[in-house]
Amino acid sequence: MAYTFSVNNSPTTGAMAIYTLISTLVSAGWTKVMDSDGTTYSASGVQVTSGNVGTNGLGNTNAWIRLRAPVVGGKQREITFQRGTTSLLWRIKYSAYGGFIGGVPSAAVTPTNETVFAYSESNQDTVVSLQSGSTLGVGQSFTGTGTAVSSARFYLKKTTSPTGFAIAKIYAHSGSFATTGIPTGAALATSVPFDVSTLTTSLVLTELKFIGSNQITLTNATNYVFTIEYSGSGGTLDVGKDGSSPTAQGNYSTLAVVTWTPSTANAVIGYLCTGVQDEVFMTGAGTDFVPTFFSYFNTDATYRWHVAAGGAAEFYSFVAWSQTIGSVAITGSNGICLDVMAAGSFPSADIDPAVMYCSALASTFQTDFISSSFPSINTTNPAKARAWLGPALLAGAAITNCNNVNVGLVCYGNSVIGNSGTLSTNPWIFNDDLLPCLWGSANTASPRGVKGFSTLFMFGTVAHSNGDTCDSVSPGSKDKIYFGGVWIPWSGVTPLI
Amino acid sequence: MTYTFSVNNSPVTGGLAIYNIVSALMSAGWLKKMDSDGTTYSATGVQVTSGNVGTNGLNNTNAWVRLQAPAVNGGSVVNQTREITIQRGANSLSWRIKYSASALFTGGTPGISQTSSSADEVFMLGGGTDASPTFYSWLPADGGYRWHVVAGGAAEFYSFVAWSQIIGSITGTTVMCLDVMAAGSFPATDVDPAVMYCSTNGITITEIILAGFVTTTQTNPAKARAWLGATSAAGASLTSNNVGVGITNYGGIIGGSTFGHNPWSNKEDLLPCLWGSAGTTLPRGVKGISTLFMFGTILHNNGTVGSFSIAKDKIFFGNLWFPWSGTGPLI
Repeated sequence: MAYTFSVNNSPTTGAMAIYTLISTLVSAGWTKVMDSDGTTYSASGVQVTSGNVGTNGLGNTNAWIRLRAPVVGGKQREITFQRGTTSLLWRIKYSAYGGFIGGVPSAAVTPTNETVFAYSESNQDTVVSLQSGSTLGVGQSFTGTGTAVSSARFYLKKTTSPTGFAIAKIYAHSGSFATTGIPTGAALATSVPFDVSTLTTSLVLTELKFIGSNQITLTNATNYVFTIEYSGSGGTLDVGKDGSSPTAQGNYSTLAVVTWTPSTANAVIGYLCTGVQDEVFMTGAGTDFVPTFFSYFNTDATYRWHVAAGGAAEFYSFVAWSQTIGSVAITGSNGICLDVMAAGSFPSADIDPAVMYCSALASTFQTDFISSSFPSINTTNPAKARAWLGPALLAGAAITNCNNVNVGLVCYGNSVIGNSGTLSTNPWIFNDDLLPCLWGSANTASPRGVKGFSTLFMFGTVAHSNGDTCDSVSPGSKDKIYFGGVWIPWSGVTPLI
Repeated sequence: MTYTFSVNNSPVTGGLAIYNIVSALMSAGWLKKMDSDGTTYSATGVQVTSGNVGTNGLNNTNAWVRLQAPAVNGGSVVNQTREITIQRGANSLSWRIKYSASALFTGGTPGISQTSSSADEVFMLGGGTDASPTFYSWLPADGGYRWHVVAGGAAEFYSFVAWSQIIGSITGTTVMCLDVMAAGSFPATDVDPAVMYCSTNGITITEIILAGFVTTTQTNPAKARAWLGATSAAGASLTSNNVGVGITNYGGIIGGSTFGHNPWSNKEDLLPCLWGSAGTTLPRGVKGISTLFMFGTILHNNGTVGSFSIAKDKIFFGNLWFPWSGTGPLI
């Protein structure tokens, strides 16, 4: 399948622009799995049908869409788009293959990766303090779903200067579920210890990971208790909880010395995650319940908007970008792309051979990720170009602590080809040569190195004005357009300026 | 067809080293069309049968061979047939090498001490005239080096590379190659999609691997040359041909220093090598992608072998990975 294009658009709002991207991706084979127009949530993705304001529109505060790509290599990538209070503000999340199948999606809340227990930070109204000689642990009962546990997330902060480590555990359940449930026996699973001294004095959702044999599979319909335990000193580990008529599943319990005591008056704020945890923020931040947004678009109605969505042959890579109306300057532009690496340019062990990119405001590919050397630092909100995505737990021996790092395209030579300079046309054909673009990272810690060759972009050997087209397939095909230092797939039509 | 290898040789003379090239190329499909042992000329190339001194040997003053590659296609010349002449000077270190992209060395007055000529010939080593040739002292001291030859078959468009490494050392010295560009990396109108290279004495191929492309054209040795073939066929933009080219690295990082292993495979990545010229006059620009060489993301010592597709299938030399036979290299 070839590219699906929607180019030369002049959207009047950012929501119209995003909806153009979404509808083009759907035309290319993607599926709109869930959505909300900000008022009405659809679990089957039938609520949002335009980029307009009002019912069925994406142009509403907190309206959102969850998109899923067709299967590539046995996996499906997903993206969520959520609008903020204006059409310029967006929150974009990416999942390499875990899928946004969990959380508590609703009219104003996007889904997340799968969770077996979720009780939002928005319910928090107090904390329980853990330290040696006092309360040593706090737990919440829940019901297993037949999936393997991967991490627990608690809403944590510290008071004064506690030292030592907190550990999340999963126990078998005794007592009556949701009333007198408490842990029993030895822990069935324990997390990687978490250094509480690294916390701040403000509550932050904090992940404790289960790895290896501790990624136990929870029996479906069987009750368990997950806990966080700490017996250090020097201060307290404060765990966020809901102390006023909680609505979470199961019941709460606390550990003093060796005795667990149940309670129905409280509930732990947190999540017990199963399946693949791999969502990353491309723009925006916060939580799904209290999202924050990034001012991603230039002023409404001031830009052209172009979308090129690849098919199976392009592994459903896509790119969308803006260009200020009446100008070939790159100022005022922004862009987004999913660039799945070209076949043969990455090792088969790579769990997500792709780069996901969301530009800064009024930025371009050239200024964001094309350089005479690979990037060595990570940026957030926007994430710009990121790779080595997918769950960190599956990242292999070489990636021990992190994934999701910034990458860039490196020029040939120090800056001979790819820096918008001109080397030469080819002496035989008097045309530019097009050359593959190599993604990589020069981070000081792993993951670093070569990611792979771009499917979407190519460098040329001659600098052009943004908006110039070329015919790499046949005379007059206008199958590529020059923008921000790279050649991008183009539809064959004449670009509007 | 795959590569033909003649590696880990320890030739006691330059005559034997060059004859290793001749015999390896012939095993890979090349023809010896003419030759002379310096005393007797053969118009059918049957006089030189070894690298020794004396009758039938290449290690005699003015002895020479004319080699012809099998025909290949891809550029604008149908059934393009490349040729090389190699002539020994007054000693075993000194050589004169000429290259013809497609016009063939069928001209001139070939004889016992005079090579034939071609309408598109270029000098890679030496100079003068065929009747009064001059030579370039190219090879290391006799008996002091290992000598490796890798000759590609049809799939490699009969590309080849030969190089030396000082015995007991990781120091690389002389290199020679014909690197026909990888399919799809050059326009079909290119009359000779290839790079011919003869190194400077005592210097490896690192001399033409730069963070920017080569900007100058060298003579005697010619180093790496491209846009060869007949000037008259070179197109309107080519007022000259036969210019110096080089390989450009990636961002000044890959191809010149250690970048890193791939996080997923814990192995280094191999990346294609791009030939081109940044000369101030035409022809300049991108030539194509190497068939012979690849960059790695880790810097190694010369002589380090790597197992990529099969065991010990590449050897690191002069910042590049070369094809290798699978044997353990001798140091």
